[in-house]
Amino acid sequence: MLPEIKRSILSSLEKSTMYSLLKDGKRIDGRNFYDIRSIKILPSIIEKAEGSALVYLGNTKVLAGVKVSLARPFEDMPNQGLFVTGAELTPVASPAFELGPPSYFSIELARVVDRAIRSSEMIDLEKLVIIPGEIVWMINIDIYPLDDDGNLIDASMLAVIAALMTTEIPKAEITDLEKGKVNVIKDEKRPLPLVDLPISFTFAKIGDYILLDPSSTEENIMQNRLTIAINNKGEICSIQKGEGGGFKFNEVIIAKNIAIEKVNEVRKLVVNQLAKNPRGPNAWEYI
Amino acid sequence: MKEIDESKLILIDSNGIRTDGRRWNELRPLRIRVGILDRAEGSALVEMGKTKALATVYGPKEMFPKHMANPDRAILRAAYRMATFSVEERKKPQPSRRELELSKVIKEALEPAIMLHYYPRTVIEVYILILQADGGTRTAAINAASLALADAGIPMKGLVTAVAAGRVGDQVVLDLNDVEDKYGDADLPVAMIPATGEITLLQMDGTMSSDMFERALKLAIEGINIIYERQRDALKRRFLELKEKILGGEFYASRD
Amino acid sequence: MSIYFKNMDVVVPGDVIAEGDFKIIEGAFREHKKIIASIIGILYFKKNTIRVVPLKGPYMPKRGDHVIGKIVDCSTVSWSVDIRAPYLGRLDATDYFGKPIDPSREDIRKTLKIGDIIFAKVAVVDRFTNPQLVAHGPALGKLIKGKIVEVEPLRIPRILGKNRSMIKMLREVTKAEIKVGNNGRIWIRSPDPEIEKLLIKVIKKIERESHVPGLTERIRKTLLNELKDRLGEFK
Repeated sequence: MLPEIKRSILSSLEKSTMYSLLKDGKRIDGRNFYDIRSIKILPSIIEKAEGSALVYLGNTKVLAGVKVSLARPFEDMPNQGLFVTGAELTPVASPAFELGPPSYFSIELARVVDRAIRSSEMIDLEKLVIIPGEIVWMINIDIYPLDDDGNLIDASMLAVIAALMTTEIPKAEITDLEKGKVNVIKDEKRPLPLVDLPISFTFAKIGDYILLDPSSTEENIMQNRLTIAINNKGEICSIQKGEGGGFKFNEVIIAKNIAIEKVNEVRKLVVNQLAKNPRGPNAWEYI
Repeated sequence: MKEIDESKLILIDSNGIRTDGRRWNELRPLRIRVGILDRAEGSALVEMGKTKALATVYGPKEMFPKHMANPDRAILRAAYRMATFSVEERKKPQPSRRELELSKVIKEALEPAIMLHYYPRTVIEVYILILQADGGTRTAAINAASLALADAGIPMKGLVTAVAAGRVGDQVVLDLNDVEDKYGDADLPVAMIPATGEITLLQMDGTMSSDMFERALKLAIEGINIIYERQRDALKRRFLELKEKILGGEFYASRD
Repeated sequence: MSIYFKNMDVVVPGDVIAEGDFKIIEGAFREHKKIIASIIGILYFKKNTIRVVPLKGPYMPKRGDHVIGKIVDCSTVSWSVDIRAPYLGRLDATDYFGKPIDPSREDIRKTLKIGDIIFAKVAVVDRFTNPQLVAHGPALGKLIKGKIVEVEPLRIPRILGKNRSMIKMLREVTKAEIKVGNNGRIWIRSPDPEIEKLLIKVIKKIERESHVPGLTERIRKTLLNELKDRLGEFK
């Protein structure tokens, strides 16, 4: 066993404290079961990325960046731009993450976020086509957790949608339609065409209790987790059950209802913070 | 996407002004923040111009696997990585040969400063993530890493401070930005422990005459002394608050 | 002999504190005639001694320290204990039971499980092996129920107070059981969960509060005030 994992073992006293609080409807950090920690978004803080955002979810911090480049569309989808989501879990965020090839969790994290964006059709991919079948814009989204205090999935989802909302794509002029040549004008930019804002909600199951937005202490003893993403229409656009334990039917329904109940509040908060929070390279003053 | 016509590129104009408005011996704007992350034992963010380096430190902690431990001292591990979006063209996430080489020289630049013999059989880990690269990432990385080590309370002979000097035509310049690094004639990154005067990182690419090399090295050391003062200020600012919190008459008396 | 800082200044690694024949107690090293700080801390001069008391840093176990540890691993004859130090502590079954045991007959896992908390004393520390703990004897052993508060290990002297005055007062006023580990863990237990909550708050307050003359008295007043409505017998 790695020393890191040994140290993260929750003591018997912490466990019994946690369970006795849960019995009274409270969590170890004072929250109610369905409370989300405070959210702070600092947009556009990486000048070299076409879009970026640093998101705080309590003490959890995730940086997402977007790079835009020219690419060839898939043969079977000549009229759609491309996007790819990746996540790098480096030890910067937690001593439990190791360098080396991507871990299963980092791939799961990226794919869960990717699915919510894809299913909600958040990005209008048709508007990313320059020459159908020849040249389209490719959107690369990369997630870098910087500080892991639990629930990296929801923090990453927020960082990604905020980064996409700040993304601008340069103008592409067709110079030779026959040969498929384009000229990119970096100084003329337009916002990335977005049509949805999916928000994800991750629940942890501890004993018989379902908790929204688990902290790292809660993740230490959770049996399993469930992530549900909701689109603008209030539809469910992505689900992921994770870890070894199981959920009962009614637990899934509770989680789903809570997610739907909370989604407008969280979406409004994201939009508001993007509008009024400090942005640009100087936003680093506010971290 | 971005192409530069080298023949038209003027790195220093007739008034002696560089592409970003600096004179030959000026540093880029420097911003330092210490202790910005919760999970890591020590952390620091250093911005030199547009270059941003984030460093975190863990340890000393038990070495794993155990047979890699040194019975006499702690082992230092350092890793340098660049975020995919830190550069103009997206970088692939897999570490490049460059990133691995820099991890090694950064580790060796920090190692002489740390009192590793205090913690036998342990490991101290330093991770650096370049959030944005605009020239001088290894020097920003070293500046951030040594602050993160001090922030973690690890005993050191002194902070390690770094900056590059270089040559553009027949002019020595300080703290090269990305364009000067790519299109200048020589790049000379230097790291040093100002408290003891030891140079702990020294690399160069390009060419310099013997005389110019001496001038460039002197210029780098002048730059290091300025940055060093800023590092000390940033560390003290963070810990003055802590001092207020814990200082009391009983503190010293009751320690024995 | 010259000194370049004032008493109680904050120094950082590399700061030249003084030149001359000073005796270094901790937190500094000598380079030729110079005395240089090796750690972030508060500088203290006393006669010709120099000491930099660290403001933050790893807990290094010392012989005789009391520690609150968490069992993280177990063999047939010993436990590994997380004591918040760079090394795991080692607790031999003999040093828990106070007598030799026969591992073929007794399963020590039944006595202390992974995740259990113990109050122990550091018996042996050397550079080559992990610190050896002892957990039998008065007041030592497994801690059952109660809560753990974690503070910076360097602030433990504040929690204890001068001649342990603070901790004595906390026990006296709240009637709670309190054990203080030099590794920055404090264990409290009271039949009344409200008192446990109050104690956590108060310990965090002591950790946080700046230097105020008579902190012990001030904390006593706060405690009595909070307890007034709860328990009539306290005055």
